[in-house]
Amino acid sequence: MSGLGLVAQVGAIGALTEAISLVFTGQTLLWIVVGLILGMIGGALPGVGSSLSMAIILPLTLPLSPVNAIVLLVSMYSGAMYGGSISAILVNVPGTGAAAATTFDGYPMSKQGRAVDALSMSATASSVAGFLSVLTLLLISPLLIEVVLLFGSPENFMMAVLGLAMIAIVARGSIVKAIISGGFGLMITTIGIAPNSPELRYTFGQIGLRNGVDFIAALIGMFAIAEMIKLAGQQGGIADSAIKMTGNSLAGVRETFQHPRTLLKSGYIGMLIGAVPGAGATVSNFIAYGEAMRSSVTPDRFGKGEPSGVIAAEASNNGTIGGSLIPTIAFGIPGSGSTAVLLGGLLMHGLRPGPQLFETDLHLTYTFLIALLIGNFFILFVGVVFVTRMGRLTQIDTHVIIPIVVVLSMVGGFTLNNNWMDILTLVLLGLIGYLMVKYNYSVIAFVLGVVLGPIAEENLLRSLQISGGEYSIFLSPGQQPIAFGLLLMTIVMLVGPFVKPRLERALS
Amino acid sequence: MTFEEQYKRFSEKFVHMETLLLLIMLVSSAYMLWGTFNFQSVSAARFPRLTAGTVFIGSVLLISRNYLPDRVSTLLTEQPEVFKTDDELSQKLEQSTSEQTASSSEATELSVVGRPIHDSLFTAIAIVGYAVLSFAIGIYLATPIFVLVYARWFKLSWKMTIALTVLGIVIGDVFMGLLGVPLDRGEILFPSGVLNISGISLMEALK
Repeated sequence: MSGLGLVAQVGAIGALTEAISLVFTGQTLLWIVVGLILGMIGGALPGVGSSLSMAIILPLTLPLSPVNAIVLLVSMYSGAMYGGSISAILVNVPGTGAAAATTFDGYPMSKQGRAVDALSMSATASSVAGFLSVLTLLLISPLLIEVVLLFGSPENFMMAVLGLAMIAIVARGSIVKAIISGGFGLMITTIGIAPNSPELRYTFGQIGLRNGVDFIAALIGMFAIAEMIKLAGQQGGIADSAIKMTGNSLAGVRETFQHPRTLLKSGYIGMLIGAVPGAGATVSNFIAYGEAMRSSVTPDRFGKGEPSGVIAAEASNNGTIGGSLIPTIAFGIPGSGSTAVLLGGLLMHGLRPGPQLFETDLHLTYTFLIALLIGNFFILFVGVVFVTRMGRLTQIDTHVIIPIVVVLSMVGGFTLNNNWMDILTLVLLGLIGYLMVKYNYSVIAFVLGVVLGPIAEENLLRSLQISGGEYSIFLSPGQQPIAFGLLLMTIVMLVGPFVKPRLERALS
Repeated sequence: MTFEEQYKRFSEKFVHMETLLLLIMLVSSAYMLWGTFNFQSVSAARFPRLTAGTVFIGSVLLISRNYLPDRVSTLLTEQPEVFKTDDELSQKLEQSTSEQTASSSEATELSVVGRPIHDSLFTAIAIVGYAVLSFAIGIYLATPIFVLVYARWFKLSWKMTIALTVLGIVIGDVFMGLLGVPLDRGEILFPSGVLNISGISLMEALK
């Protein structure tokens, strides 16, 4: 092990000790519980989900300390992943995209009178996989620290470009639409004072625009306002009164542990896919479900109320949490809408992803991870003990939810800076966001652009300062091997999916 | 011809919302691109030029996709398959999606509550109205009006309407009480705050 590596490991142990004491002192534990409950509620409400609930809570975290604010947000993220399964199982409409595969077997189980079994299975699989993925992240963190510390401005800029390219590829629909969505997000961040000169850009003489478009207002607009406009045009989503909360919660827990291979494999599939920016739990739960079905001796039972189908889908989406935190915290590249909001929270509270969170603020990073570890026990407890009461959440009419979310968004948006420009941002981007959702333009790519814009511009300009204004800094494998490697990966990512099938056809 | 029929005919014939979205992107990127040539500092122009250039080219391509050769047009709209799923899972996904579409789909009729315009359109108009009213009289006063109008439009029961309106007021009061946000100030009316007139907030009054 190198000297640098040893120092990093000693530092990591010190930070871990400090993090444990931080979690168990003051109000941190309280914020873990509050975050989990809010997340579960948000996740369980069809059409709300994790990113929306996190976005509307974000302004409310302003008076909290950075530790408590981020602990609250990560706990909401974790709670919502489980909460999404409640509506998936009881209503056949996933609260979050991350629970879409849960509907395949969860809803048939409910129809067979095993709703409670399915819900407690979901809680157990979520908490075990969530715990293991975060624990794995904690264990590999010393290695991650060494990698993060190798990154400078050129690498960080190329990482941002790679992140956007990955999201463009993974996003459903046209790749060009995803690229311009990301570009549109980045473009909006250029409003306001330029990073290294006093130049005012596109402010139209408005003082409120000098600091640019507030990314939290943009997040609320995109996730809350746009989603509510969309939700208003949909019907249904309320629990079927024919579904009765019957079954046995302890039998569900036992059954989960009778499928250890599915549980572990799906959890780690979730973690691996979660680490890919843009993929997230929406992709991982399908992959894990497909793998569970492929490796099952009774694949024909899937889709008809097979317990391992629920276990696979739910283990994978909570397993994603640990994985998705890697690019978010290490490189500032969120893998999903929820991690984009989490990243927004980090920046809002002055915590910068990247080396800072792995050097001076390492104890904070560990605090968030330990909070997630503890949170998993709470998910299991709530999921098993209060399982029968969870169903009530899915009986709330969406037209009751919409005005509350809109009011919280408007009030929260104004709270950011007491500035009407934020309200204008929120409403305008809400309307644009609705059109983007409707016509399959990637909202995640847009949001990533908005969050990454200032960081990407700063790193681009700093890189160009180093190279004397030459873009060749990104093309020099000798001087900047990592940046060059990331550039190659970006090109392969963007061109590969189009070239590969044509190449295969030509060769065959 | 009824209003509903006129509305349907107008929206089908003249409103192409995706084109509108692309035009917003095109015009804003063109303006921003043009703006970069007027900046004093070269470095301030670099990033906006790159990003606005990307959006401009992308939106031009998408707007003109119907007039481009088939191969180019397919490339623009094609979805690359990154995560392959097997046939059985794809079937299940399709089946599940169609079931979910049946239970929670975009409403085929204009409004699920029998109103003459689409529910999403009304919600969008109501949100814009809420923002404009908030600017004029303050968010605190505009909130109950928005909630009341929304709840009545969607024919929620009076009991629920009142409960939601009260909840809206409480949300405003909590934000003002806990975070000190001046939600009661409008830019046209009550610039020094509604609650300053009475001198108390609902929270204080309840105490």
